Amino acid sequence: MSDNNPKQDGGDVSSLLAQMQEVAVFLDLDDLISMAKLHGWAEALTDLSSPASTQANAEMFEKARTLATHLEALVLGSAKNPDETLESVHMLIQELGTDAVTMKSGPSAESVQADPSSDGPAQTEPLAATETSQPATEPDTASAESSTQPEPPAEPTEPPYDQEPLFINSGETEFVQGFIEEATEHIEGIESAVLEVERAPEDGDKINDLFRPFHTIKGMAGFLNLRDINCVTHEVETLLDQGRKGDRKITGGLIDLVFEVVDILKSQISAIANYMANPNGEMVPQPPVVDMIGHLRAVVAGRIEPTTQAKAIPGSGACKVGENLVEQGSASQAVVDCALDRQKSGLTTEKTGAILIKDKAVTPKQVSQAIRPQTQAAAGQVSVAEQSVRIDTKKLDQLVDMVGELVIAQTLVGTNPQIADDPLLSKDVNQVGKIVREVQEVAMGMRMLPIGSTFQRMARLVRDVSRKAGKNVELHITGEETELDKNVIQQIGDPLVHMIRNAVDHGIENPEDRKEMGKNPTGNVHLSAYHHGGNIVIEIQDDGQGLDREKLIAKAVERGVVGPEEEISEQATYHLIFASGFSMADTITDISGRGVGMDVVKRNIEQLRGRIDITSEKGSGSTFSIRLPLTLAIIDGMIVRIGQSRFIIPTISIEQSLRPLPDQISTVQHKGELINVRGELVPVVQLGQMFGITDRIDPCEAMVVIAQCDDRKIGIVVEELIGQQQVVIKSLGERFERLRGISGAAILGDGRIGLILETLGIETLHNSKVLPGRIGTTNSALNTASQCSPHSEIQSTATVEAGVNATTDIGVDLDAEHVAT
Amino acid sequence: MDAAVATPEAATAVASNVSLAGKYLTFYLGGEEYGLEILKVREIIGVLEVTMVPQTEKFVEGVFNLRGKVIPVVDLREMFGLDRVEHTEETCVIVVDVGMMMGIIVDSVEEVRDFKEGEIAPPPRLGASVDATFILGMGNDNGRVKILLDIDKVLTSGELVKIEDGTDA
Repeated sequence: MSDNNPKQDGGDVSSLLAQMQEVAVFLDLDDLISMAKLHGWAEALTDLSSPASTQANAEMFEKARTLATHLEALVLGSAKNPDETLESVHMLIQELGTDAVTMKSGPSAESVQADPSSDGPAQTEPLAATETSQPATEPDTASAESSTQPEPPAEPTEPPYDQEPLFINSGETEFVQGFIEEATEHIEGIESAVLEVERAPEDGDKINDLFRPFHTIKGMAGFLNLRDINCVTHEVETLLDQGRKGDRKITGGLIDLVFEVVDILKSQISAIANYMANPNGEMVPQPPVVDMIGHLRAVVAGRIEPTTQAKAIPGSGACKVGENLVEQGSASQAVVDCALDRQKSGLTTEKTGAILIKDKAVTPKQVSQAIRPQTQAAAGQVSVAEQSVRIDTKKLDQLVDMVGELVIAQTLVGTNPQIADDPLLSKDVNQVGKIVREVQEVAMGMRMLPIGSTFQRMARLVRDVSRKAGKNVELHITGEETELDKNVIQQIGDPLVHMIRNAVDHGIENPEDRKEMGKNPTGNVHLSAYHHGGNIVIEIQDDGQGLDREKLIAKAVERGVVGPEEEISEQATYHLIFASGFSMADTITDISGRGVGMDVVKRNIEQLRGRIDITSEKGSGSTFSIRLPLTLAIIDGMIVRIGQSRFIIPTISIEQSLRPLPDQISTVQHKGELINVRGELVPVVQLGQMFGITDRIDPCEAMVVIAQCDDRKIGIVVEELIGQQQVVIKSLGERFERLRGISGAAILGDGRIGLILETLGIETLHNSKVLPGRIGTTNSALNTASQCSPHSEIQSTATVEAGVNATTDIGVDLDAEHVAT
Repeated sequence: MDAAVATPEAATAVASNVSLAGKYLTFYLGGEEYGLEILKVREIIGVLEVTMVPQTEKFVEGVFNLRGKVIPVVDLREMFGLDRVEHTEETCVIVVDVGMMMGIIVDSVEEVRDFKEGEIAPPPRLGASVDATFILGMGNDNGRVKILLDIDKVLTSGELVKIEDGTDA
């Protein structure tokens, strides 16, 4: 600052400092851009104050230089203690601001020594004299910028929250994308945390766990100017804070309210995601949050009790920084409210802290302290995030594919007879083999995720459904850490929702009924996951009323699913609930009972190559076990040979394989062969013949693989069982989509391709094709089939009969299986 | 070949605004010479072990493993209704990219030939017995005629899987 033109320089310096203060208020360790900006300004400041003619100038120069050094250290990451350095950056900027003011209003030794640690509202008074270069507080400019009409801020009851249209800066799309992902994760965390809190309302740590994700979302939303999310989360946070401090009891109503907020957040985020997915499209309005904010504020202010009925009640405004400031005692509620008021009424677009600083109500230091917890929370989050990398699943799939090939190629090399001649080479090849297998394990593991988050969603569901149905249900979760393929986890969510909903709504009885039956009025649903023989088993077990066999059969007969005379086994009865349009509920509630759902469950699980088993006892509950493969990319398969072709039968669907004795084989009306396996009659499928590879193979001179399809079984005749092997599943591509009985291909150990069989398709094929062709002949069924169009009547009867046969078979099959397990 | 010689005067229909000039891979099939756009060709390999796929059309030879990818192979001879012959040393699989990778089995591969604008005549009218929609044009290679195939149409217009009813043999 030169003496001849102090005003000019003072103006430059103070506007520079005003900018710096503003940026510094929201400075955060990860915000490199702001730091770089500040660094630039600090350097400019050193230049401005470089002719160190006066004492004050010299001090400013010194401070500005230190500031620049600190910032540089922060930007470069070389600061030993970033938090402390950041603290001193804040301090320096604040001191510089004070210095500039005193210099302008005439040098004063006292105000130069402003002690930042002791400053209260009184200390900031000198600042009030300064005129800021920011015009934002001037009503004229501000009203031109804003679309909403300024509300009179003097009113004691403040105007309700005004929702803003969603606006995403095009430069921020990447951040917003990141926000969507992170926020979604946090919301999942919140849901489980809420339940924890409900379980232990007195546990401050648990409330903290709940508080934190809200806080993070709030911080991120604030940064991206997603004001709706920011404000809602803020209000919840305030509420939780009251709970944390013991000022508010954690009640069920409060928990409900938090859940409601979670739902609002979810819809908000999905609205943003939609907008991001189609940025050129219509601006998607964010779902309304106004009512919720009003309601929350009323609750926070203690005017109403927390319940789920959200009503629009104009509340006293408080927004993050303001709240913290009041808490610190740095500013009165009235001052903060006034600032918020102005902010809300659209007079200014600045953040609360910035307004307060401008008003000289508080110092930047105080604001920064008020923001600190938020910054720290965000920083903590980042350090966790750094430990993982987001990868496109396509790349992962590709990697898994390539590793699969690598394993095969390695096997090819390893089995080359020439290797045996060279001990050194043999040793090296073995070593490579070990590494390759390890690589394979790692690659497979990369797709695996613990099922915990999916289970947590169920906890929320049980809570909601049981409340709605007026039941007391407790969910017990075990095996959350069980890892499953990401795709499987994604696809198992919906079926689980249906099944859990059913368990709560239909399985568990009303508390009164339970009491009457001498049961604990609180019902239990156990949700567990565990490994079992290369599969994952997910079990849903309830201690409710169990499935009523008579009622099921009556319903089935009524709907014509089964004939009135038909004998039906226990398992088959239970499987009736999977039939489309089949509902056991006497009344349709909005929870369930429409009869859609369970058929979807079954289809989804089949798509995942899994299966469901049901056990149930009337009066004491049911258990649904879902058996799933570990991953969708690899299956355990039995490789079989028919003619020159090799096929892979998924191990999960294989019951057993055997070489039948002649007296085990019987024919029914010459229409089809049946094999008697321990008393069950299983249709024999001549796959080679069906696929046109071989003629009929005598089962007694070959092997029969008994495979499960749905709740039925078939016996596939193969010439040889080559062995069991894990194979990487390859799609045959869309050109082969219509193939029946073949679900894909795999590259076998010798580099050739084997087709993967799908038993359900084979059964369908068998029923539709081979049976009619079999009449009175053992010639190529396919040839006969081609000539049998005149016999279409016979054909259809045969199919029907086969169907009936199959149904009656089920009983025997599954009963026996049950005994076996 | 005889049919092909009769072509040049059969002009018209083809919109000649799309230039057909460019490099073609030429190959032999049943004594006839064909060409397909070089840009479609991914690689040429010897006949590999092919796994037969049931329920498919006769011309579908099956699938084979091309470095970890499962690729369908069709026998062009079968597709064009020519006699099947024993595979020889010269028999090749041309892997083409027609939206997806597919292999075609041909008798032998000849060369890559650059056809200029004037050397390509529009597809001929060959009468009802021959489907000319698969033909881009007729290339004139110093008096010898090469049938330039629209390989996309050849491979993707038909179904590979037979429709399941009582008529499959």
